[in-house]
Parts: sequence; structure tokens; C-alpha cells
Amino acid sequence: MRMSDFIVRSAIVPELNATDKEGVIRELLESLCRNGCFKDVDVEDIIKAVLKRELLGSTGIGDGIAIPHTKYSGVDKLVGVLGISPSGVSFGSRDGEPVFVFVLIISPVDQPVVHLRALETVSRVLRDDPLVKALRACTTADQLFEQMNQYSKM
Amino acid sequence: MEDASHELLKRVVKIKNPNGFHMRPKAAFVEAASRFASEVKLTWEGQVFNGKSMFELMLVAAGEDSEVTLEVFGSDSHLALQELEKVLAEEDVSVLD
Repeated sequence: MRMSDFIVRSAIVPELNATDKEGVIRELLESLCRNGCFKDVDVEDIIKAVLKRELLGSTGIGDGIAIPHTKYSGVDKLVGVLGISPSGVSFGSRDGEPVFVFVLIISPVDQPVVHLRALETVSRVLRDDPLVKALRACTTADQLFEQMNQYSKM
Repeated sequence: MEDASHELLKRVVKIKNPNGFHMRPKAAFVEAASRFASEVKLTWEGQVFNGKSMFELMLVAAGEDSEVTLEVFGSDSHLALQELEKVLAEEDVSVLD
């Protein structure tokens, strides 16, 4: 699996405005919604589901990266969005550091392995420090997608 | 919590969770592993991962009924094996992961 298989290019948010966890999740999900990723689904309901998941433990995995996610019954395929916070957001990460790079993932409830593979793919790609630095230096959604894709193919 | 054994202990564990070895059990595993002095490794699909690193465990996409090999070595290896095997084998049927 590659990140480009599920990251919605047009929904990428190169500069998140939000300054807290709920704001980031809202901004990313609203972007997916504007780009037609959710049909007949109330985006507020998905926001609640992702926030509920965060209450069980932060998805901030350290090194300035977070992968907020949930499985949601109203979607029939895996979708994801990439967002960059230029100033960093406190996300309750394991290492206590702010998060700059977010990849939010929503999966159908009946595909647990696809969900695991998506999280694995994101983690494998973002383990690469030079990539994370390069992503943070991008200023447009297209640059971010190209940069991510280049590393994702390796 | 030392048991002075310094033995290398290995156990193959089957993942029973319908959601697979997902992020919450991974976080619980890293937290538990970090309480022990022993080295902790997990092998999945021929690759070896540091059991005390969340980033490394994120690369273990082991689904329900797949097997991982737990390996511990150090002064508290017996206790570590016992505790970590429990975390790996835990079932959790909630949809949220």
C-alpha cells in the first residue's frame, strides 16, 4: 500500500490554522468533506468519533507526528488527508512534543486489516526524518503530495 | 522486578483481537515493555521490531489470527514475557481502535 492510495490530494491542508486538537481534527475532516469524501454523512458525527478515539489515548506517536483515525460505519472506503501545522499543536503525544505533521485516516468498520496497513504505511513513510523536514517546508498541497509520493514509492 | 534469570525467552503469540494488533494495544505494549529492564523484540513477517518503540510497532500490521514472536532478554525476562504475552493476547471487541 502507498500513501497516495488513500490520501486525497485535493483535501491536503498545507497550512492548518487550528491551534488545538479538536480544531485540527475539525479542519482536516471538513477538508475531506468539502472534497466529496463523505456521502450522506454528517461531518460533525465523524468529528465526534475521531475525538472519542483520542480520548482513549493520543494518536500522537512522537517526533512531531500524529495519525488521528477511526473506523466509521458511514464510509465504504479508506480515505486520508495530510495536514501541516507550521507552529505545531499540543496533541498529548507520547513524547510530550508538539505535532507538526498530521495524517488523518477514516476506514470502513469491516476492513480492520486495511486500516492496520494504512497506519503501517503512514508510519513507514514518516519515519524518514528528511521527508518530514521536506514536508514541513512545502507551501502548497501539490508540493506536499509530490513530496510524499516520491518517498512513498521508495 | 528483577528475577536474575538473564535468559532469552521466546514465545509465539496469536493475535486474537478482531481489530488486529492495533494502535491502542501497541501503546499498552510499549508502556508495559518500557517498565522492564529486558530487551523486548517482536518478530512479524520475518522482520524484527524493537518492542519499546511505538514508531517501530506501528510497522507491525498483524491482523486477527496472525502470529508474532515475542522475544525478551534480560534480568527480568520471565516477568516481562508473562506480562507482555498477556497484552498481546488480549481480546477487545470495540470498534474504536
